[in-house]
Amino acid sequence: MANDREILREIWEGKLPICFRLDSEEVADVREPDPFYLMVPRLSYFPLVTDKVKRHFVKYVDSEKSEQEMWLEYNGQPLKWHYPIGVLFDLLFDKDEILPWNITVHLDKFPDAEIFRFSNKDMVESYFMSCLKEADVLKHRGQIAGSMQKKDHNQLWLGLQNDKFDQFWAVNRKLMETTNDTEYFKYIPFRCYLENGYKQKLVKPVGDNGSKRTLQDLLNEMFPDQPEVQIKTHGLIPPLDTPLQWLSEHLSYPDNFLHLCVV
Amino acid sequence: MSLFNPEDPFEIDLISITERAAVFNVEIKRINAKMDNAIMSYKDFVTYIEAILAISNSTSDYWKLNVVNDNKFLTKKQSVLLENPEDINERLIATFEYHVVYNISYAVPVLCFDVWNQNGSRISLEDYWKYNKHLRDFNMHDTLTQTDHPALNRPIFAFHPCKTHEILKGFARTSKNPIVSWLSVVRHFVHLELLETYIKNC
Repeated sequence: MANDREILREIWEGKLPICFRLDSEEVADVREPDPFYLMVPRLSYFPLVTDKVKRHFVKYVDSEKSEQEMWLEYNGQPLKWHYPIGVLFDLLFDKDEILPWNITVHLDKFPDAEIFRFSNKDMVESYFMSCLKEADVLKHRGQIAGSMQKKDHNQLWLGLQNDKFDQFWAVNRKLMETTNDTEYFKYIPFRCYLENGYKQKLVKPVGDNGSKRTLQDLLNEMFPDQPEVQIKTHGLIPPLDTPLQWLSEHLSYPDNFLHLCVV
Repeated sequence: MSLFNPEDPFEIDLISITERAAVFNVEIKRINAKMDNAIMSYKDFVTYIEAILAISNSTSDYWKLNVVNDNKFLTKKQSVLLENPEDINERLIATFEYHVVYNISYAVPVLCFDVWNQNGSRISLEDYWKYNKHLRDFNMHDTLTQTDHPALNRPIFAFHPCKTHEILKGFARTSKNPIVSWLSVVRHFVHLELLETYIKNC
């Protein structure tokens, strides 16, 4: 069980400054809209924090398009906003740029072959909970998430949505415990991101000889031909000798997955 | 050995009960062992989908085997007339593309699909839900979700895999091809046609 609580809180409090601008081709008003600035939690998802952004820009677009769904773009790519915000940043942010992160807002031509459609918060919740359950299948054969009540699931979701660390962790700590007299999860829930998507594999936190496996072991398994590969998560490059079990308990996102971006 | 002792109709044959209980326990253990086996390895998944492909090829059905980034999966395209069960005048012709993919975390097959209407635009999850009477009794968000296609890394609709294991368990002892058996259960939700030949061979 996670015991370095101050680390959990540091990770939880990670925020990013973002500058949203409406795509100039979609401006139908004589006035150019002001950009919209927000500090957003790294652990959250864009569809949870951008209601205000849409309200700000919607009055500047063609009234026929004002009912359309918003989507976001960076460097010519639609943002896959089912990834947590911090993952998108670590994966895509151009090192030569300075903060804030400049993101283009669109209210037209939703690219539904490329990104998830989140018409309402229920759809984000459904996606988030399905990730969390999948993580628990890997860690505990799904037994902990499966035995939780609806109110526990709600508490996890509301804790994330309302940025309430204590509310979230009061339930999440159960998902981070180990069961059956072992100090390890069955498998480590993680996704390893490359530019065009992510890979998953079944990786155990402990070796056959009982030794703790490390981030280096995970990367060797994922990329056997690339001994030099490094990953970034939460803006950090964790040391390669960090034990996987510790990483999973402390540096997982709220969906209980480690999201590791190859740098 | 009967449960009923004719000498004394009220004295139940206890030995027989214990024996039966023992037999029952062995049976449960055997089923449980099988249940654990209902977890499907990727290797088994490939064997089963290749068997489906072989039948498809021999019956001029249209399943295709795809290999992308070391992931194998089946696809099939099919057009279907959808009717709104609450208003039969509301109809549309939908084109489905089904994908049978492997989920590594759950170790089960997953049925995914894209669905377009005739003008080529995608049908939303909510609209799709409205046209299917089989889905009425289920909560949409617990049943269907958007997911990342494991090989193509793009969004696709999918049945949530958390129930699949239970369905597979039911066929673990009897089916030669659990993927076909499972498809025969879930296909109604997505209007997927499955020829008799597949069922006969599983």
